[in-house]
Amino acid sequence: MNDSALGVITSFLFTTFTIAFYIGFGLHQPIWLLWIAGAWLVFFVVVLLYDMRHWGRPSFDTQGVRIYSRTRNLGLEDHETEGTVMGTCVKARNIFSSARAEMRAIIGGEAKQFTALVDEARNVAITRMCKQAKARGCDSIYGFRLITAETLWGSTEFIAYGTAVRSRKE
Amino acid sequence: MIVSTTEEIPGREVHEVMGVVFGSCVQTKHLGKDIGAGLRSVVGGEARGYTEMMEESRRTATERMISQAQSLGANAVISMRYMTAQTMRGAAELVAFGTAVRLR
Repeated sequence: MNDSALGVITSFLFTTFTIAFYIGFGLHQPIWLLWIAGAWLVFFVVVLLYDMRHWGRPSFDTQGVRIYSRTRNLGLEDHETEGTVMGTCVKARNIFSSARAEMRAIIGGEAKQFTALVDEARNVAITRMCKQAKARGCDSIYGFRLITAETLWGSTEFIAYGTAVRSRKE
Repeated sequence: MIVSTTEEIPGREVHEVMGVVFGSCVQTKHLGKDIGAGLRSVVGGEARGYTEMMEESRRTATERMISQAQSLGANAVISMRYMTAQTMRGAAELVAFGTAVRLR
């Protein structure tokens, strides 16, 4: 089974039983449990289907642009600098994965949901940067840098940037 | 004006170093886009409104850095870096900084 699916399912069960536990003990009305479980089930299926878009997504597409992170000793006498190119992606994880990752933060260990999120978003950012370089007619990117920042809204922002360089021969 | 993340520019030589130039932009959240982003944190996925907004404010920071470099009489900015920090609650600071130089 896909790791992401496992995360969604276990966090769904965890959330459902927690809510059912509190409400069930508070009201002593079993019919409420059914309603809540049903609502969660529908929500869970919708989120699972939405999340499935990202499963097995390939790694980033460089569009034939070569990426280097070095900033000196470039050895590019026959090239000219086009300028800075940048690709960004602000990503939010769904509530089930967030719940499980927060649980994981208490216990310790790797939060696999967020590893998947980071990989996805970084790939998107790098692909966008490469597309921009390609559109400006460049064949390589030097001085590549990648930064990650948690923005204010509980989502994570990924920025990939570098200097696009064009061959002078063409 | 050449803006580069590398320390050297191919085919050019650094003639004079002007010093470090900064450009910053403090961006607060957008009320309309925040509703969409709030929904995103439930369902998951990319918050497109915020991707565009942050890119735009980062461009503003870069432009400010460039105008500062121009006022120093530089014609290029090398070793440029971007930085993001949450300065106060509800606001993100985007900083672009680099070394203003005059190339030959």
